[in-house]
Amino acid sequence: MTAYLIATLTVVAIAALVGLALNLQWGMGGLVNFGLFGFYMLGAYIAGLLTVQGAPPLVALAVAMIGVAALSAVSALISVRLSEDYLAIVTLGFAECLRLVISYEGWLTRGMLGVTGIERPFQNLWPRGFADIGFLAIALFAVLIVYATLQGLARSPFGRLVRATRDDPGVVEALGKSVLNVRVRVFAVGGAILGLAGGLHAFYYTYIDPTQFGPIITAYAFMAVVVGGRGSNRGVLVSAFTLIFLLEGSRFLVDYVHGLGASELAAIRLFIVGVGLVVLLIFKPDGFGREPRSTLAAKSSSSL
Amino acid sequence: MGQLLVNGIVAGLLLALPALALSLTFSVLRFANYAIGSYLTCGAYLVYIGNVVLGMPLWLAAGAGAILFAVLAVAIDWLAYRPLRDRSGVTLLVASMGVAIALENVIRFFAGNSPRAYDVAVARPIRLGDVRLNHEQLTILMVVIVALAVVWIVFRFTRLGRMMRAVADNPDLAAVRGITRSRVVACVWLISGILVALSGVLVGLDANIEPQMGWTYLLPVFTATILGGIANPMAAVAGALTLGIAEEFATLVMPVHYRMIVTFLVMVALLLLRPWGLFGTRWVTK
Amino acid sequence: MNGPAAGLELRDVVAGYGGQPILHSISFSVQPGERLVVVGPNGSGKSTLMKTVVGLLRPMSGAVRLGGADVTALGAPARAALGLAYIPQETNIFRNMTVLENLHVGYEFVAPSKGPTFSERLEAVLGLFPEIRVKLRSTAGHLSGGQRQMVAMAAALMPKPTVLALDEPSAGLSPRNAGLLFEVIGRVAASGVTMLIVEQNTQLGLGAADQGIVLVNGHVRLAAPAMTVRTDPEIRRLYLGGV
Repeated sequence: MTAYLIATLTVVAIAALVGLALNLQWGMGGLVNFGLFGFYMLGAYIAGLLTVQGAPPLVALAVAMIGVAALSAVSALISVRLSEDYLAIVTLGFAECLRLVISYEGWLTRGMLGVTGIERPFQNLWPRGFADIGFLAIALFAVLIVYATLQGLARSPFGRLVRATRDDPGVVEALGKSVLNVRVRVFAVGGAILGLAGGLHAFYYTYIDPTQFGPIITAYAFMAVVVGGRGSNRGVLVSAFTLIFLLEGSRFLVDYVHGLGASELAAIRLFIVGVGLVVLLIFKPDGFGREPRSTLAAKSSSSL
Repeated sequence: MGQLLVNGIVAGLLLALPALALSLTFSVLRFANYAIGSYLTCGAYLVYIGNVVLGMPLWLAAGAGAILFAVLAVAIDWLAYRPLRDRSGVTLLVASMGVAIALENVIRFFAGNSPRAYDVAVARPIRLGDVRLNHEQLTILMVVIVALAVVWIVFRFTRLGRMMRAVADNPDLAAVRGITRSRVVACVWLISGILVALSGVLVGLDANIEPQMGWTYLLPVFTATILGGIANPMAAVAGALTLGIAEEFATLVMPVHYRMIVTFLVMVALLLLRPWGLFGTRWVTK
Repeated sequence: MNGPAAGLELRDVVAGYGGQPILHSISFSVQPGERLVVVGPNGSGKSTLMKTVVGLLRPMSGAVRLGGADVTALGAPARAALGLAYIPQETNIFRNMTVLENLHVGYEFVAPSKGPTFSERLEAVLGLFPEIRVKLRSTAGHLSGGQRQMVAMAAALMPKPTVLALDEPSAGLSPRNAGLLFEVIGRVAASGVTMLIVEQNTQLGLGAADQGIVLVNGHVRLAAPAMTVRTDPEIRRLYLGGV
């Protein structure tokens, strides 16, 4: 049971990172990223492949973050003059293509066989039998750092600029700031967080293959942000550690509910996520959290 | 070369119906429906129930399934999209993703993940010179062309067609000319529901019926629609054909499993160079 | 509709956007067959008034009556079916449809099944606007500004409405074209339809009307015969910029 709890918490911590990344891009920046899972997958593969080549895990993680940030920025550049609808399809297309390349370029990624024997950071630091709890501590630490960074960013002048770009790009342009510049930077920072989350995923499972990465990652992240309240980092954390925890935790029901296999349970779980997203958007569009900013600005966001 | 062209045209025709449906809903509702892939899958499975579970001939099952799904599309609009109509486009995008996830997992729950096939007789391909055309391709060719002709006639020459084009063109003016928008919206969902469900059957004939089938079509359908200029339904058909042929000829230089990458590159090039679409210039906006 | 011209009446109408009233307790009435023009400076609420009259905007309070019937609760399509035709400012045609299709759309969703047929109405309307007969197959969006206004008017008249509402018909037109357009408006008025015109060009607008209303900051400042409003130097100085 304790092992199970630790495993679930680790998965939730990684999902929380993805949620925080999306909260920056969509919640604060108004930019829909439907290809989250692709960027996350890229982070996992960069970190995993570098580590098995002998790179120290932390160096591999840093490269993953930089690499995903750079590619995120490029994908934001593609939709330079276009509305959010297009950014959504560009990111989705990008993620799908990435998954194809990783699946078929076996010489580089070992294709469908997957990458095995990925080394975790600090794995010799922990006494025997405490490796998983040690890794959970690392994951939680990462969540803490990212949360603190994003909170700082939300309150900084740049954070105000990002929200202004979301609420009224025309005004930002009129003030002489480049909306494109803001979009690209938001996507890059979000990408770095996704790279971090993906890297942690690779370290945690020590094995990655293309089937682990699908739109479900994107779905969880949107759920976390919608429930938490767009723009609220605390809300995202709370919803990740309650809602996603429950959803992930329901995996253990397989042993208790007869007639329902793991795939049926997964289908039910995702069905709830899908319906929940729509219901929340209709009845509780601002979620349960609050964006860290003044009341005047909060009022304008409710009309989103 | 001739074979590539034929395959490309068939691939393009497969994209044409969902691209037309996507563009139709976009032109009237100004909302890009990301659930269209799941719609396609859902239609294919409904027809599978009629054809395999209930033992109907495929044409009958396809007709019944398409109508049933069209009603379902209207119901989804009522439940999920209509309450969000006055919010920003981004909210609707995310909602449509929620719809997509929910639909796809209803299918997974009941039908599982294993691929299935329609109950149709296997027949030898037809040979025309050195070009081979199998029966599935012939069916696709005929069904899509007939469906496109019907939609075109409805659009050009009927009251319903003028109604939809009027709302797409200028919703406020359409209202003061006596057109009730909610009725047009329902008609648009009915028509696009039928088109998408039919294309689900055709994709299922061409390949397999499986929960992922619509998902793999999402990107090409969007690309075809953007190629046509997203709010211009008939141009979406031209976009679909262009993309189908381009994908097929790209197999000369790229492995087949990278079709999607070709699609993506076409889309990126288009968005950077001609974001209003390859055929989108005829839409007058000033 | 199809009957004699009907009247239009607003009683204590308050309307605006997002809970902020722009119109404050507006009351006026147009008698059947009469032409009333609303003039006033920019931002006085003329467009809001028009939207409220035709049903694109629901008033916060007050009542709108058309031909004696209370239509306050009805939307734009229902009011159109009762014989109220509206020509919005500028974007008043379906640009991607042909002129003939525009006329068709103008007719088919409003005209009653027992009334005159489409071809009868087409002939009647083309009699009023002979200029567009040669353009029937052209895409409406490709026409000149003056021609577009003609098409918009023609489409609105297709179902033989009893009340015609015109929002700034001269907007975007050259002075010459605006003059021509008001000539046409005079022709249409002669056919006996009740008219409500919102117009920025006070001279042209008041010249074509029986009654005039001056709207300032969402209040009716003056209601008088159009000739009086047009010629009284005191009124012009006070409300119409003094020119």
